[in-house]
Amino acid sequence: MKAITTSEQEIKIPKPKIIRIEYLLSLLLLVFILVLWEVLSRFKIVHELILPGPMVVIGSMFELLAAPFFYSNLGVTLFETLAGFALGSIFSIVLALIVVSVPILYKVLNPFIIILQAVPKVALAPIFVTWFGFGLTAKIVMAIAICFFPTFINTVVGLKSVDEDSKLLFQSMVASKKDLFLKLSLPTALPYIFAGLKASLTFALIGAIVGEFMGADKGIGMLINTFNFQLEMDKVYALIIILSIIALLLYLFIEWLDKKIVFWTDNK
Amino acid sequence: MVNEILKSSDEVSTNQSQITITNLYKTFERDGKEKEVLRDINLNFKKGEFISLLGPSGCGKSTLLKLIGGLITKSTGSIQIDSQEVKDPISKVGFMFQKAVLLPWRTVEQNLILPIELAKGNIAEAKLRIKDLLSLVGLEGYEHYYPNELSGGMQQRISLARTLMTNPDILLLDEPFGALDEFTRENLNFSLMDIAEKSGKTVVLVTHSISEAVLMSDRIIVMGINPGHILEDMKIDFQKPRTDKIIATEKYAQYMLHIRDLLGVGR
Ligand SMILES: Nc1ncnc2c1ncn2[C@@H]1O[C@H](COP(=O)(O)OP(=O)(O)O)[C@@H](O)[C@H]1O
Ligand SMILES: [Mg+2]
Repeated sequence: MKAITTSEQEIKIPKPKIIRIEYLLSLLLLVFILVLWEVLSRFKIVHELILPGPMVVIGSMFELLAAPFFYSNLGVTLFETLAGFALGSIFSIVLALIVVSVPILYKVLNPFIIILQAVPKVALAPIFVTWFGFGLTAKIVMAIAICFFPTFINTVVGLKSVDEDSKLLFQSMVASKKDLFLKLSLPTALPYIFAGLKASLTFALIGAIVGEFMGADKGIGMLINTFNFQLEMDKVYALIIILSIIALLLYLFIEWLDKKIVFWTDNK
Repeated sequence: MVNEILKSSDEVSTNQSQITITNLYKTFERDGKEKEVLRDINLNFKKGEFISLLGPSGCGKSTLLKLIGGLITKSTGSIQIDSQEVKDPISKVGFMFQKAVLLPWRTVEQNLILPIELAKGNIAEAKLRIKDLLSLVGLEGYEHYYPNELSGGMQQRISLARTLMTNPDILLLDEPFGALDEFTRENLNFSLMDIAEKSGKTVVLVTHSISEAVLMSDRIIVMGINPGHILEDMKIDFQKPRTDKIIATEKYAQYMLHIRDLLGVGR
């Protein structure tokens, strides 16, 4: 008996080490890519106009981060993203609540939902420009359109995932409709809703950038477009890296919120 | 202590029928086809009785229990609790299911408060009961645990405590410990008998364990299948409080054999 337990323990010990080796390999791969990138650019194997080296890109990044115009453009893009995300999320959650609580509505709307979901939202960008012009509205609407469905579908699925036993229990405890919703359906749906929100926040950023590509006088998307035309590729790459970092930060924020609010799902 | 926190709310004489079921039929409709699940059920349960519904899977035990609790509607016939026709769930009836169905986002204490919240009762007053109820089910000090920090047996104990929170007169228990291992189940069975005896509550227990039914009940309603009907309404005559000593008696063996015979088990 004792031999079995010790051998089990022996098996368990190396596991964390393997993970560390994986981290190390990832880091090595990153260094390798950066070195390769630098070499390709520095020895002009690839034209530096197409692929400026990482040193140059990092230099441009700091240059941008020091410039006031960068922040005013960043502010616009963030505003479009967050406004689109907030409105899109509210619309999708409210609509999901309505659709789930009125079964007839769900059946009637379901085919439309499936079709609309299949539409590549990015293709709607020119239409939104025609409708709303080159101002902020078109970008926000674009962000709403692209981040609506993940949260909507997830909220519907979440609200429908309340199991029969819990419903019976609430019924047996003489629960009102309001309590059934607030104390059972909504908390049950929360993990699903957050999964939708997590996906749609990065989608909202995509929506805002695509909207800006269609024509804008402010925003990171506009900056990328402009630098691209001026063949300042180092700045384009720098902006893409900055955008990725912003998307990552937004994601980390909502994940943190998820862990705080839906604390019971990863308790195990 | 049981007497204090679970004392009876009224003084209905113990010989009066508390649950009265007459000519009850239940038919389910599925895919346009009608299926008779319960046929001509007639039963009278007295206050304080411990009754088991015993029968093979699918004979309509859960359906009968849900009908008594007002969770589903009957096809024809009558079900009365204290002379009132049952239409909806009422608060003097407490339900317990095979699954504990605790809310994972609520602590034990918050789960226990739930029935009071839903019934718009006095929460501050209810909180004073929690400590006693937890010690009654053997889980003193677990107020601030979350359900997923508890074993299956502990969760089911919390579920029992939650059922007792509103101090219902009638407990409807649908295979409450059926998903637990034998040791835990036996343990909880004795806790349940203890609570039932001391509080004078009426208990209707659904089970498909013959020995469990004989050990615990004052009466066993043996049911047959297709459609669900009553085979026999048996009185189980043992001294209370019951101990497992009765297992060694001649009478216990006769009850067991008789029920096995009724249900066509063994050879
Ligand atoms: N909601 C329902 N719709 C259709 N048939 C049902 C429903 N609930 C139960 N039944 C049927 O009724 C019969 C009895 O079920 P149940 O009361 O759960 O039996 P038991 O609890 O004795 O195992 C089964 O044949 C089952 O399929
Ligand atoms: Mg059943």
